[in-house]
Amino acid sequence: MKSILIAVIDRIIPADDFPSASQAGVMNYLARQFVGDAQQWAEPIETGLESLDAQARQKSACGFAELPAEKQDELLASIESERFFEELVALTSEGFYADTGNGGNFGEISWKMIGYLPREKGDLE
Amino acid sequence: MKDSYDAIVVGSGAGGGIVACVLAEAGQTVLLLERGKTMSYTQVSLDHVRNHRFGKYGNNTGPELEGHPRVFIDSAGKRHVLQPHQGGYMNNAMVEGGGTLIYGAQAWRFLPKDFRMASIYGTPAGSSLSDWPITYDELEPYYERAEWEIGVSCDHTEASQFWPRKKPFPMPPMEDRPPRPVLRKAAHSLGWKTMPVPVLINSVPYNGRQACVHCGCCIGFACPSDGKNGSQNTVIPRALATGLCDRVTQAMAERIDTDSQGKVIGVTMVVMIDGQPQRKSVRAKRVIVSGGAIETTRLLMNSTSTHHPNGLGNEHDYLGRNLQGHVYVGAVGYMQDSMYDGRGPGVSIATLQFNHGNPGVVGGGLLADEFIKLPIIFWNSGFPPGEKKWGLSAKRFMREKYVKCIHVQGPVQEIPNPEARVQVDPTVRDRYGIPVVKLSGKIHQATSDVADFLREKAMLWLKTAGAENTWTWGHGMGLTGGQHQAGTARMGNDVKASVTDSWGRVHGHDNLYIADGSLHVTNGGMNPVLTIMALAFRVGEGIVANSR
Repeated sequence: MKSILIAVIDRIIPADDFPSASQAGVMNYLARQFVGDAQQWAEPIETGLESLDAQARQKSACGFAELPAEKQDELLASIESERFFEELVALTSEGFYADTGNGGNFGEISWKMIGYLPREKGDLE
Repeated sequence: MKDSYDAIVVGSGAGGGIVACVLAEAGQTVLLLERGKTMSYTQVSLDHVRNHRFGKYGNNTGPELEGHPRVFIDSAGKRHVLQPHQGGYMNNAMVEGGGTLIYGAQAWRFLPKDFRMASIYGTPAGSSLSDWPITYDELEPYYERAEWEIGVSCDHTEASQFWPRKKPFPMPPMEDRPPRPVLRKAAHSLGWKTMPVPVLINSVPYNGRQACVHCGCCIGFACPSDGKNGSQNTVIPRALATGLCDRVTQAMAERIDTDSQGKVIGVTMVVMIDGQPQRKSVRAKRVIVSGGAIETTRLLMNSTSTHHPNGLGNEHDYLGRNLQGHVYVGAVGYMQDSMYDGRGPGVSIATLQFNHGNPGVVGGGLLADEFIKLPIIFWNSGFPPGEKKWGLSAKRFMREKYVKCIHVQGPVQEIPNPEARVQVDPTVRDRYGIPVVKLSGKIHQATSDVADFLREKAMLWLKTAGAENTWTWGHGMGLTGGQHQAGTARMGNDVKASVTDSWGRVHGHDNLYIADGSLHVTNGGMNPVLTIMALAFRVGEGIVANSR
C-alpha cells in the first residue's frame, strides 16, 4: 500500500526541478494526519488506492506503482472526482505547502519554489 | 477573585476590555471574566492548518474542539451539531483579547449614512433594516478615542474624503506595498477615490510598544513585535494598572443572577479552582455582557427566572434575531510582475466608492486588497475554475502565480432580517452542562443583490489594473457571523424591536449592559471592530455617568 500511496502523491505533485510530494516529506505529513486529525480518511483512502491498483492490474500486467507516469495520470484522471482522491489531493497539497511543523515541506522547499518568504519574526530577525 | 465588585464584565474582547478599563479608571472595582486563556505569540503558534483563516483541523485560540458544540440549522433545514472549527459554527477567538489578539486589525469607522439606512433606503420587505438610535456625529468622539487609545495608523487627509473627522490619526499609514500604487492608479483612472487601509497596527512605535515588523502573518495569528493593538495589550493592562480590576481567565459565565424582584445581582460562573472546574457566584452592582453577538445571546437566554422566563432582555422575543456578519465578494487576477515582497500586513488600499449611492441596490460595501495569503490558502482558494489542482500543471501554477496574484475583496453591508437567529438548544450542552446555541436562518435577498453588484466592481478594478485571467466566484445565501458577528441585541428606542437603549443598557433593567457587536443595528460595509470599540467607550462612559 505504501508504494501505491507514494506513486499517487508523486503524480499529484510530481518532481521537476523541485522535489515531488514524497521527496518533500508529504508521507511524513500523511502518517501524522492518518492517526490524527484526518484519521477518518485513512480507511477510505486505503480502499480507494486498492481499487485503483486493481484497475491498473486489469488494464495492464502490473500494479499502479509500476505503470509509466503517463498511464498513471490517465488512470488518476478517470477517478479524479472520486471523493477519496479529492481528499488525497488536498492532504498532499497541505503536506507540501503548509508549515514544516506539520511534518512535510522539508526545508520549506515549496515556499522557496513559489517565492513565499516566511518572516516568522519579520524585521526582528 | 473577591465575592463582590462594582461591575462584572463578561468577555475580554474588543468591547469588554474597553469597558473594564473605563470603569476601573473611573474608580470602580471590576471583575473581568474571560472563558479562554491568556496566550503569547509563541503559544498561538504559526500552524498553517489550524488557525482562524485555515481551520480545517482546528484553531489556535480556542475554544477546544471537544466540549464546546453548537447546533447549526442549514438552509435546507437540516440540523448539525458542530465543533468550533467547522463551517456554520461561526467561531471567533476565545482567548484573552478575543478576536483582537489574532485579527487583521482593519480599523474602519462606519460611514454617516450607515447609521441611517432605513431613512435612506426604506425597509425592504422581510428585513428589519432600521436607523441607529444614535448618529455618526454622536459616535465620532468615541471613534477618535478608539483610534488614539487603542492605536490606528492611517492618513487623515485621505480618510477625510469619506468621513467628517476632527483629529488626525496618531500614526502615519503603513508603508506602500506593491499592489497599492497599481490599484491606486487603476482606481483613479476609473474616477474612484481611494485611501490607505486604516489598521490597529503600529506603523511607528506607539504607546510604549514597537512598530509592526512586517512578518506578514497578521490575520489568524498573534504579533511577534506586539505592534498589533488589541484589548490584551492596551486597555486590559490599563485596567489592571489601576489595582481595581481582577482579570480571571478560564472563567465561563453560566448565568446572570437576579434577585426575587428580577433585578440583576451578579454572575454564576464555572471557574478553575486548583485546576478543577467549580461553580462560583459573584455579586456586582452591575453586569456588562461582552461575549460577542452569539455567546452574549446565549448567556442572556440561559439566565431564566420566574421574572424572566425567556431569559434577560428577551421579553419580546427579539433577543438573538438579526444575526449578521458579512457576505464577502471578491475577485482574483494575476499581474505580469510580482505583487509580493513578503512584507505584511498586505492589505494596503481601499475604495469606499461603492458603500452607498449604488443604483438599484440597498447600501454597498468597500473593496480592498487582501492580506498576504499563506501558501496553503492560496492553493485552497487561488485556483480559477477549470484549473487542475493536481499534477505538474498545478505545481507550475503555484510557482508562477503565487507572487503575481492580486485579490481584491470586500464585506457587503448586510440587510438584517429577524429570521437570522441565535437561540439556545436545551438538548445540547457544553462540557460544563450549559445549554449551547442554535444558529439558523439565511441572508436577505437584498444583501445578495448588493453582493452581485459589488463583485462586478472588484472585477473591473483588477482588469483596469492590468490583471490577466481575472476571475470571481458566487456567494451562498447561508447565515453569516463568525469574526464579524453582530446585531443580536440591537440598540433602539422601540422596546419591542430592540434589546438595549442607545447607551447599551438592556431595556427594563437599570444595571445590565451589553458592549459588543450585538448592539449594532446594522453592521456597515466594512470590518466592524472599531465600531465595537467606539461603542464600548460610550457604554463605559454612560455607566460611569449613571453611577455617580
